[in-house]
Amino acid sequence: MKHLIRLTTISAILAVCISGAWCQTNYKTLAQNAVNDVMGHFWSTSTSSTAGYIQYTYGGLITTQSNRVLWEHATLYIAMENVWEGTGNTTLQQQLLADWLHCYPQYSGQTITSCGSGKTSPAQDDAAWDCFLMIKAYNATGNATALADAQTLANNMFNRWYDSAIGGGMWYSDSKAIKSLYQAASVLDYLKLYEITGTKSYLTHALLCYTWLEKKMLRTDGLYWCDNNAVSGIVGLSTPYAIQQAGSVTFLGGNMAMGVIHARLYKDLGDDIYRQRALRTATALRTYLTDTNGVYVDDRDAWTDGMFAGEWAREVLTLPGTAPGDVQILKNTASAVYTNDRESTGYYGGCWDGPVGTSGDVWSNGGSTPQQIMTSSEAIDIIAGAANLP
Amino acid sequence: MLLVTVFSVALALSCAGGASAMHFSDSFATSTGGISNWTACSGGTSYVSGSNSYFRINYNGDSSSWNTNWVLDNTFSYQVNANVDTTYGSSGTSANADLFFAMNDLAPSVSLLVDAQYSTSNQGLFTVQWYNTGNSTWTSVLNSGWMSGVVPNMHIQAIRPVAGCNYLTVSYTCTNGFSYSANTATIDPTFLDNLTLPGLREYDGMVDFSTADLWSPIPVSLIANIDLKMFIGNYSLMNLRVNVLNSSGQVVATQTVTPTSEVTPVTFTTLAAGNYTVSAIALQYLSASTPVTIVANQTSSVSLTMLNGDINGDNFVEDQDYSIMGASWYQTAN
Repeated sequence: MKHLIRLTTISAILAVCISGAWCQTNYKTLAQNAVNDVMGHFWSTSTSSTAGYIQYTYGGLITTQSNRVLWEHATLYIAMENVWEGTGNTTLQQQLLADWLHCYPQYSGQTITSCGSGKTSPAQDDAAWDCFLMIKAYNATGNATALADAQTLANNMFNRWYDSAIGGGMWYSDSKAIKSLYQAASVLDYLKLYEITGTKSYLTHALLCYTWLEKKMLRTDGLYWCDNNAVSGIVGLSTPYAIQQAGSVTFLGGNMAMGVIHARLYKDLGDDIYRQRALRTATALRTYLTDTNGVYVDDRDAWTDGMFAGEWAREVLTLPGTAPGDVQILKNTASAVYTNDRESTGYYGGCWDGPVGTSGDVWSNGGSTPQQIMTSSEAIDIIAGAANLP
Repeated sequence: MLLVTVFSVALALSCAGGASAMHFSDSFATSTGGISNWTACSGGTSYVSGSNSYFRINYNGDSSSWNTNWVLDNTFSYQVNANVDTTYGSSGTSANADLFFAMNDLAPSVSLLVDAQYSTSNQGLFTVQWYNTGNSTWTSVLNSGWMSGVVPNMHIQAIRPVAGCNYLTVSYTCTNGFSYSANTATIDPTFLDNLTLPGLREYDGMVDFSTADLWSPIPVSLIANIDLKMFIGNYSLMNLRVNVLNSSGQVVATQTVTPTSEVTPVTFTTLAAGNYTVSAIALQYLSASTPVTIVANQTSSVSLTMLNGDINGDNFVEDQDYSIMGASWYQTAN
């Protein structure tokens, strides 16, 4: 039945568009359909529509073993939260609460807030996604434990990986080989925690990492490099436009995060320089990270590239001076994911403009398959982003 | 966890001193914690005189303090007021009142020093030096020489005006009207990028610092996009001057830049709100001007189109320009 509804929806959209008349897609409906698709694979069965939980995964696939990976869980949770924010669906909100209450005891005690090699969040980005999950859980449910855990993990993350090597910033992992754009996710965690709690140290943490990214990773074309190696420097410096699906010297998700950071600083501080930086980031993504159909390229990381689409829609694409084309790109990408990137079984791939599940699916060929919770969740997070547009 | 190998390439946010994240300011007033937002330094105390509050450093040697909540972005403007006081028996009124910058925010130390030295005989010496970790040496990039007419009440400022630039603009002014400003010689821009925190330093005397202030990044007030129509030639030989005039016709800001394309954006920072005129001047182009209103905390932008062909520079393209060109018609360089 769900698939029938989808075909009806698409037919209706196409009919209007083919007629040459006004064409408007209801992205809130698409987002709800898409999250239903993915929850259909990963949400536990339950007698109640508001109970249940996201099943635990390892390598993106459901596991009943103890090797469950929290950040994989986070990808779907964050997509669900963005759909809730975009649609206001209260059932989804109740499901977010149910999942958090189920999830928390599975990682009880210190484990959920610990980070570093061998811990729940082994690397900086894992910690950032997990912290983001907790912040989202607090945002959607008001659960005080979620906020407390987010703060503990945020502090642990900074204390473990921040130092002054390469001029500042956080290491990607305990190996201390690279500092990366992935820490933009941590900056957003810190800014949100500062906004919620007013604790000044979070602002300082955010600014220290943010200014390092702005000084060390910003390129002259407005994009950000992804990796800065402690020994050899910027990775990919000689191939700046080696940017394509399944491999890139930059990182769409990190660039979107930087745009959101700029926008949030503009909102909070009221100074125009941050708005200009946000618009600069949007222009760079439009110029260098879209395909010929005006669809964002899922370039580097099919498991996290869509993570900030909701924030991008709400906070960047609503700024004064936003180019209409930038709004359209997010819509184009959401439509492409829904029509070109969805398998008949309701999984979504890493090639957002298609193909999916065939030999041309370079992401699947590289090991990021639609059947993994992360790959599907990131794709639908893009649709969730479009659902958050005003 | 995922870090994909790439081609095998391998609110008002309140801060210490009651400022925003971008504008940090500390008056050292007891109501905002005195000097508690700064690291304790040798001889450092909170000092109040009447309604004025100070960060007093009284030490017969080298003493520095920094603020770990103040963060340097890719541009900055850092300034402080400083009064040199009479100290230490017969040594008179002399001391070094300095701004400094640290590279390591976890273990800050002086990496770049903007040093204003005051001597009893109303002499001042202004120097800037930075520590090159590559060869472990201090490199001097400014030395004003001893200057007369200086008084002990001074204002010191250091600005990195443009992201990625390789110099600082520094100034040393006094309450009696004395003024000195200069750009430093070249400083490794990577070194400047690595600066993370600002600080205050005193050497061998007693200094009362008041109202330390940091903008970082520096807010942009105005972007003037100058279109050099039909430019043909080598941009590197071209000078484009853009002036900002207030309502009285006085130039309040000016920039001379070398264009790199037909349209050149020229930015101006920290202009006060008000009505201005922007004018652009370039050799062999008709000058152009346009009014603009600057609004606080916003970036205004204007576009100016400049027309080519004013060969004699009289702001009128007519027969004389044509005659000059005609006299050279079909001639080539020797």
